[in-house]
Amino acid sequence: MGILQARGISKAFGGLQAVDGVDFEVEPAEIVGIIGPNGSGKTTLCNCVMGLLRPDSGTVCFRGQDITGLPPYQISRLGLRKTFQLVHLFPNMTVFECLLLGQQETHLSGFSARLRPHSPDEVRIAINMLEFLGLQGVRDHLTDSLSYGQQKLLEFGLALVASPTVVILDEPVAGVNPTMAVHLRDRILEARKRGTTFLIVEHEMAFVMGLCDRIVVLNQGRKICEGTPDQIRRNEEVVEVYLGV
Amino acid sequence: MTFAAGPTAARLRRIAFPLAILIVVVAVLVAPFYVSALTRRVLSAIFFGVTLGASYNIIGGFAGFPSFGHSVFLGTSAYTTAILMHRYGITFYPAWAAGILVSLVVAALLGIPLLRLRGHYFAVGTIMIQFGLAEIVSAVPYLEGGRGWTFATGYSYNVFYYFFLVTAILSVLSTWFVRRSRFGFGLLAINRNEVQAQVLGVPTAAYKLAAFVLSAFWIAVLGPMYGRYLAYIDTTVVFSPRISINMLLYTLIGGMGHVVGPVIGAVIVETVNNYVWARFLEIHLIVYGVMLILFTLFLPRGVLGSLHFSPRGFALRRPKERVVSETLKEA
Amino acid sequence: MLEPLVYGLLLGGVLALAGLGFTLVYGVLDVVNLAHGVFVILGGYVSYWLVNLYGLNFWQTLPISFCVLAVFGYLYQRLLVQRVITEKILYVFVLTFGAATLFTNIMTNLWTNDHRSIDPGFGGRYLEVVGVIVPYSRLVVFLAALIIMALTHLFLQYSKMGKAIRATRDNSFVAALLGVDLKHVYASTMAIGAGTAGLAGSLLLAVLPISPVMEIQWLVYSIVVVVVGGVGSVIGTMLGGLLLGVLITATGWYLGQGISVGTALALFLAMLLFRPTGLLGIEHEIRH
Repeated sequence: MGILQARGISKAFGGLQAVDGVDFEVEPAEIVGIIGPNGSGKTTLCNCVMGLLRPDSGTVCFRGQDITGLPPYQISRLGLRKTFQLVHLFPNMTVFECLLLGQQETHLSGFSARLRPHSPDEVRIAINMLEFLGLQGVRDHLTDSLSYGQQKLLEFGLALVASPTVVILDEPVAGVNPTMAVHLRDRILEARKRGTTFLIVEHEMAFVMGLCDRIVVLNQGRKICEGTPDQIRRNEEVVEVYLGV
Repeated sequence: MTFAAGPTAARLRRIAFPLAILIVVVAVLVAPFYVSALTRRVLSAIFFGVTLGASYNIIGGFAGFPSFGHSVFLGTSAYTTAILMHRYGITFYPAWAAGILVSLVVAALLGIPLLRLRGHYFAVGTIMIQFGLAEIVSAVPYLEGGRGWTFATGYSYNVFYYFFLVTAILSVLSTWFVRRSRFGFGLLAINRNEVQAQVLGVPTAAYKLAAFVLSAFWIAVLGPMYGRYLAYIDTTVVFSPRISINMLLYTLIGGMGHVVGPVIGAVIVETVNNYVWARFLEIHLIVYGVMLILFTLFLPRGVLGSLHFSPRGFALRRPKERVVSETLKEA
Repeated sequence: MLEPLVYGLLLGGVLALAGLGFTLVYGVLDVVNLAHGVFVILGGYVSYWLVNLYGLNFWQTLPISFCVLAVFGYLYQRLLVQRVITEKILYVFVLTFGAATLFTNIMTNLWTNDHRSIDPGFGGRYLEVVGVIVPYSRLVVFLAALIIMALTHLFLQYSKMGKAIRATRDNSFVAALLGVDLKHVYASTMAIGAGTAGLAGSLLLAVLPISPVMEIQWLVYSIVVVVVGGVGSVIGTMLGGLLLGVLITATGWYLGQGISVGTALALFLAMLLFRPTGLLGIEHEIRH
């Protein structure tokens, strides 16, 4: 059984069925991609997994535990994290402060720890993450002053800084320049080497094909295909869906 | 543009700054014996304001949920104490403790539904609580809202002065303590991006409620003593919208979310208020309204929010960089 | 038994009219105007002074009241509120609260807190409806409120400015791209909001004595009417007004005056807990 498992996830908004009975499974240290045209339900699906939305039906299992409908902060503490499509950082906070925040709620030993300031360990982890990301130079800059690519990178780092088991990346390279995209790809692979599992929602076909072990294809809320990048490339339905023949 | 830069200035500042603080501290400690009754009253009002503002800062400044009705916690503890003393013959100190407890319970009960509301609706909800609760207390005979309660003052004004001073110091210390803790950090995050905070593991609902209840604490402590200070309370005095707005004002003018903000804000507001009140009684509310308008238009981030302090001096516009957080200094 | 119901419904018309301006401003500008109660009371005073100083017939003062308040609202928005509309909502709250304090106290200074009333000129004639004595004045005021609300609705539906306002409400970004002058639309919306509020105040004057101290009350009522009826719904505001009117009158009747605001609060909390989108409102998420 995989480390993250979704069974029969469905979600409708008003009359619109955004996600319709989707199943998928992710094995440890895999990099799985979710692709599909706009409106195919990729982000909605991931928001359901992360507890930001309540699925109308279906279950989500993480490390053998049913996490369907749990609040996002609990899911986060269990080791599953998600980034956002539109960068969603903390204005008026420095990069360093964000990285402290990103890890402060994990490995907490009870209530009294919250009353204390951050520990030297957390500081060290934040510094290490800065090096890992390559953002040492903007350590004390406010997030509002970062470039778009740097913000995306920081968002990625925030998810990673608490050493989660699985990270869901929602369009991590959308609108990002090629150099930064390559850098992000490199960091994802490095993090995978260190044991993190990734589920990547992305529009950029080249990025996904060149990075993921397996790919799941959605269209209009339903899963239409699943397989290795090669298999997906050759699948007729996928080609049709993307080229709109 | 940087003021007071340069090495000589730096040396001067290293001496001058702590010295100035020392002078102020001593002056404040001995003031009651040397100043006029009016000045003592104004200083007491300032300390009272500092406590209110520092408490309010936790929910309004750090967490970013601007409450327009926080004086209800002042009123609840004052009224609870009064009722226990007058109707049940309980002595002041136990009644005071009970009053604080009741206020905190009320804060929790109100906080749960209110904190689920978004922006506008939260603020409007607190406005409704302010006026609605005041009216209900006024109308219920058991609570004697309409006629109010009297208190035996029992202490000299000097004692009240020191009481307000001590609570002011304690409340600011509490705020500072919260600010540097992980909890306080979490509140700041909630303020800036609640969803992202959740996804990073911050238990936002619990933190918000905790902040709301904590913000009521020192206000509740003040309530009954305030009653004794005035010797009389009724709903217009302790469930006062003006006190609620003043709390907001102290933090706004001083700089929301800054620990020292309410101190600066209280000093400015209370000094202006008392000066105007003494000379231009009829129009003092008009001046108050104008002050509110001018502040939101021209200095919305408050005094501390509009200045930037660095080891080199201080400047008016906020640059892109910033000195690192408190925690790092200790690392 | 039926008296509070009937009187409550009649009062509800004025409450709904007051709420209409508030919901319009909130729906289009996303501004909670804490000075709204001031507009209501000011409208009442305009009518009062026109009747008492210039001997106008009460009903003649209505259009003037509307115009004065509309101009006032336009300037208020254009010169003051517009400057903070792009900032944190807290600043809008504090600004409008400051304005409310300022205007209320100017009124108090100029005209004192004494309650004012006028005689709308029906000579105390009344109807009898289901055993309840209904003064002509209350009935006519109710009908006038309904007519004004209908006119406002028609204006928003069919006039050029009305369409611009609705477009801005639905999507201000696109509206601006299509050439709508946002600042002008915002100010015009506030003008209508203030004008209708002023009319509510004038109508109120015909049935109850008014005074600047009532400003907060009417702000609270407007808020509750809108929360009950749902933001952006004219019919909803009407229903909200009627419901609140009946509740306030009933509690006043059976429990004595003085807890009208408390009643409004109770209704407000009930709505928030059980029907946060209002009875009829468009899907307007008020919770996280």
